[in-house]
Amino acid sequence: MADQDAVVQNVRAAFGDRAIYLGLLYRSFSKALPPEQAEALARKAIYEFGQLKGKADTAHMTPDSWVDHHVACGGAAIFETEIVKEDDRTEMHMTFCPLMTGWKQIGCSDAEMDLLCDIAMEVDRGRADYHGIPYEISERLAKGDHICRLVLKK
Amino acid sequence: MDPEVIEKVRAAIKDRALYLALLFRSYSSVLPVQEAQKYAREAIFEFGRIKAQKDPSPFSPEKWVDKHVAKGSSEVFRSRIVKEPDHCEQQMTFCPLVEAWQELGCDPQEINLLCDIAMEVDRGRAAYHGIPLEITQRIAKGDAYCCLVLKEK
Repeated sequence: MADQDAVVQNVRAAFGDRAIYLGLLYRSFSKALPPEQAEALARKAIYEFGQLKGKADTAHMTPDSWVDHHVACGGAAIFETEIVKEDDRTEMHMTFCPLMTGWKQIGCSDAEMDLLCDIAMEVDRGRADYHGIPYEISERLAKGDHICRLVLKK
Repeated sequence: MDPEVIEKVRAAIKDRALYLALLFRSYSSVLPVQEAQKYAREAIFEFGRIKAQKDPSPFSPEKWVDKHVAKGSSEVFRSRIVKEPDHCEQQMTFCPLVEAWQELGCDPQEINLLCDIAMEVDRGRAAYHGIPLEITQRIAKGDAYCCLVLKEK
């Protein structure tokens, strides 16, 4: 059995690096393109990343199996996630974001962090759409909320 | 490093490789490939400079490879370390990034380019410390391993 603290610490660092990648690539390409286009192209890429994640999931993914997978693969420990299962929906409440740690490291302003977070969450949109799961991202840490709330509807 | 940690870190590195590939492809759809390459390289070089800021100062080739081992990265990349009086070598025999690009369906030419862009992180880090660096072999261009040669100043 691995030392779970070591797993969490190492994976959080890797998530932070990925967030820095996104931030720096977005900033760099924003020098060449108008802001709306730079944003749209980044969103397209990360949405596709989500679709790839969706393809890698088991078939017949449901809101419950989505969150169960999040817990089983260790995501809940990384993001300090609380899970709420209701008859009509399942919710993930993420209380810690390692991506924000990465963006803070490169000196992102609140507005930039909010935008990069919204782009990064295209992964969830792409994955949910792949499975045909209606969703809502109703709160985000990076826009000042106290949790990220991903609502997956049944 | 525990095998479970190694696997999870490899998976996270693969996701980062996919980020790079998909973002590069997306931006290359509207920019000439040379220009897209230039902006991607600038971003990853900067990433290397940011990584360097966390290194101890003064830094040296020996400290570079020692840190690679101490952090557990040598297990992630299955690296061999060579220490000589005038240089150190980091020979990585496994690359999770190449694995991710293969799974994405990149052809060998695209993998070679993405790898070279990704290695701007090492160029940026070495430049930050003023350490002369040569990347003499790369798995993505068909070599048996990736070889970073870090020369004493």
